[in-house]
Amino acid sequence: MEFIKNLGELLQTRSEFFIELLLQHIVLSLIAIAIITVVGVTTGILISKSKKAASVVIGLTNVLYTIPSIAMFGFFVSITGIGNTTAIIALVIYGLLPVIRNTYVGLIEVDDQILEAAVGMGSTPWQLLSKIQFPLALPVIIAGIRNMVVMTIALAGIASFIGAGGLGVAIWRGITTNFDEMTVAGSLLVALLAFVADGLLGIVEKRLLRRTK
Amino acid sequence: MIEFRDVSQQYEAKKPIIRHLSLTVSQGEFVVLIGPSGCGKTTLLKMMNGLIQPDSGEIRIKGKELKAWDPITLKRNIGYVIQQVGLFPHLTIEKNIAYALDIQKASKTLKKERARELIQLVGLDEDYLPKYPNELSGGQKQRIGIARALAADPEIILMDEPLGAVDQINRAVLQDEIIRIYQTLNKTIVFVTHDIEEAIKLGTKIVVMNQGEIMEVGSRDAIVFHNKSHFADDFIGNKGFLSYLNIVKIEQVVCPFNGSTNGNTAEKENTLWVTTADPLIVGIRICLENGVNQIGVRDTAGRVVGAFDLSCLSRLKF
Amino acid sequence: MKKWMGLALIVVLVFLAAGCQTEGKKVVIASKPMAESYIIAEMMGQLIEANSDIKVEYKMGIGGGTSNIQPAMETGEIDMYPEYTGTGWLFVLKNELVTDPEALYEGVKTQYQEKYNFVWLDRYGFNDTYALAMDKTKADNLGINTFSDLAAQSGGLVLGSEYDFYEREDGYPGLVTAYGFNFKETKELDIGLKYKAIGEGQVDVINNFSTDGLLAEYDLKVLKDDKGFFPAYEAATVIRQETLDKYPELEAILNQLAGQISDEEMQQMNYFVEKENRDAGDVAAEFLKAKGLL
Repeated sequence: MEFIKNLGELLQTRSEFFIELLLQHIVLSLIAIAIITVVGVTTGILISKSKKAASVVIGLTNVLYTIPSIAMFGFFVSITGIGNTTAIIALVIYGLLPVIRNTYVGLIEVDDQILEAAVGMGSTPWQLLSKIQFPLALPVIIAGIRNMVVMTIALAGIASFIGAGGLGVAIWRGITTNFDEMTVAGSLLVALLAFVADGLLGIVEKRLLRRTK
Repeated sequence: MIEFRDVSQQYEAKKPIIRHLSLTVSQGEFVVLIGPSGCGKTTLLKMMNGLIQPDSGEIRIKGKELKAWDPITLKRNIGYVIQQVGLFPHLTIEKNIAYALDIQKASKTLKKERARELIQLVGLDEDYLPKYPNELSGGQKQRIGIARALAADPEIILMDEPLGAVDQINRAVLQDEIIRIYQTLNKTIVFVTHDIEEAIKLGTKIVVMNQGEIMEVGSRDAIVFHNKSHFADDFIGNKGFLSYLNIVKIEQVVCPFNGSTNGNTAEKENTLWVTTADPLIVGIRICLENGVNQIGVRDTAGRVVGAFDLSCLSRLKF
Repeated sequence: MKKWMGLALIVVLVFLAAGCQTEGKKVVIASKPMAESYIIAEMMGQLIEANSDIKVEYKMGIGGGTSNIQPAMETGEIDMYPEYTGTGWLFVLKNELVTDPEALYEGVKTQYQEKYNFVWLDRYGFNDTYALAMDKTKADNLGINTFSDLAAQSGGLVLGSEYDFYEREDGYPGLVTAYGFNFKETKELDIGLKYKAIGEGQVDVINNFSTDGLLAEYDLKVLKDDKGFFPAYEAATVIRQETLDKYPELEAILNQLAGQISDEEMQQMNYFVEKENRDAGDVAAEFLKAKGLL
């Protein structure tokens, strides 16, 4: 109980500190998320044309995905130095897998008959993709993005390890100075952020699911 | 309209799918391609709008060689209806119908008008326009499928077993609808089916295929009665004949009353009647049920036009 | 379509926001991930901001400590940070051990200038050197008072320490050579988790530092380095020459800290942050004010 009281006090008295970290965390995550979404979805679309390309790309991202995050962060520090840039690079690498995979799967799982009808009616490849395939794949793609967003927000919490900003600063500070309440406060806010983001995307997902059958 | 000359097609298969096939489809015909599974009828159909390319031979669509057509333009000029319909689940019925126009960048007003026009043509209420495909029954979906194929007003419509996935009762209804649409719009239709009854019922020209070759081509009468091909004969068989009796109307076989000089004597007592619009099978059935050889025929307005006579039938040339 | 435009808009805004760094005078101060480092870095930053119009950006708690800060200093990502003479000499310059603290300081100062064009400012005054600590009761029971005593009984004990310590020549490897340690097990822990580990009995011995705030908290006995193995680790600011050239006033400002902090004072401040969980910035400010520097 004492702990929770201290925790509450901490959040209150140092609210400015936490709010700043929260904003940094949001910006950091958003930049990574934006890049991942654009690169990931585009890649997913491109590899949907070729099974070979798909297995290569997905296989590669799979491997990258299994590398422990701290190792990844540490590795890039030696190349791009400490700070936000490195953090974003590492976050992007992790985030790519769910988005590429879901985009790919979403696109190829569109009913063959629907595609045949669209092609038979004289759709250009672009029309087929933009009017039919992509909209129908969207729920799966959004699900992948949702996954990625939560993961990125959580992972960004480790970024402070290499000098980036965000709520990880509080978590790391708490760990290195034996300040449990600080650690928990940081972690709590990361979890909260992830929860809210997930919730918002869940609403988007539901709206899209309603129409596609 | 459509010409095939010595066309062959193989895919990567060991046996050819289509062998040295020649066929002509003229404007306004309702051509039915029928044959057992694997005979190549669907492949033949798909060569007409360029979905499948021939390995050899010449194909002309509307006088122009297949190779000379831009593949996208060709498809946009031909309506295409498939068995599973393939309606776009994320679009409203209205948008589904107007799709062919949408990809050709038609105006909003044109698309709206055309959708309204076509949904009525296929026998559904305008209320359905804002709905989504998952709200429709199987039969309704296929009606929309047909409407969709008509959107850009193509001269040729290809249908690949469109009623294969529709239940028995609806199938008969939809067949009638298709006939009605055909007669109203005067399109050229190529229709693939494995159902003999359907083939006889719908087609003005019936093409019987087997193993990539055409066994027989002819009108309804010719296919049922004057088959040169043994295979076609067997294939069409009694089912085909029965279908024929269900389709052809009595008005085609009216003959004079027995024992009359001018052909229209006064009716005897107890004469049974059928109308000109009834199919042959109704006349035959009434004769058999009542043990008579001759019954009277009236037209739809009620006037006497002659007799339906079992012995007369054999003298008629189909 | 609309959704993509909205997303694209957010991306653009985010990039703008991130890119909108205020131009103007700025220095970056880094710290290692430990209380002492946070505190000193804060002192540096507060002095700079109070005595000039230079803005300070902190990059606190760089994981890996010196190993990641040094490259960043070389690329100019970081302008300055608090470092220890022993660390610079042995770990960065990779020299042989030198025991005399003065020689060590002069040596490190000269070579950093030559090799990296970095400047060592005047020392703060405390010596945060390596020590080994054990639970007081356990140590008393086993009769362990010095490193040699510990070595004799190391076979039945577990050592817990951080990555740096195991890697550095002046760390565990050197100790083993000098004293013949042979621990039953050596565990690798993060700096911040060592005290917890020994408190919970997960390890028997930890290496720690002579200015650790938690020494009293956990009732540990600091063992005597009877062979004088560990070198001096006197703390001072390491700053890039280029930064000094750019803002010459920094030298005078930062050297206000020269000789101001004793071992006890540092230990006390560490205690405030690690035990009482006070904010490092507040503790630094309090100290500076008490010394009349702020």
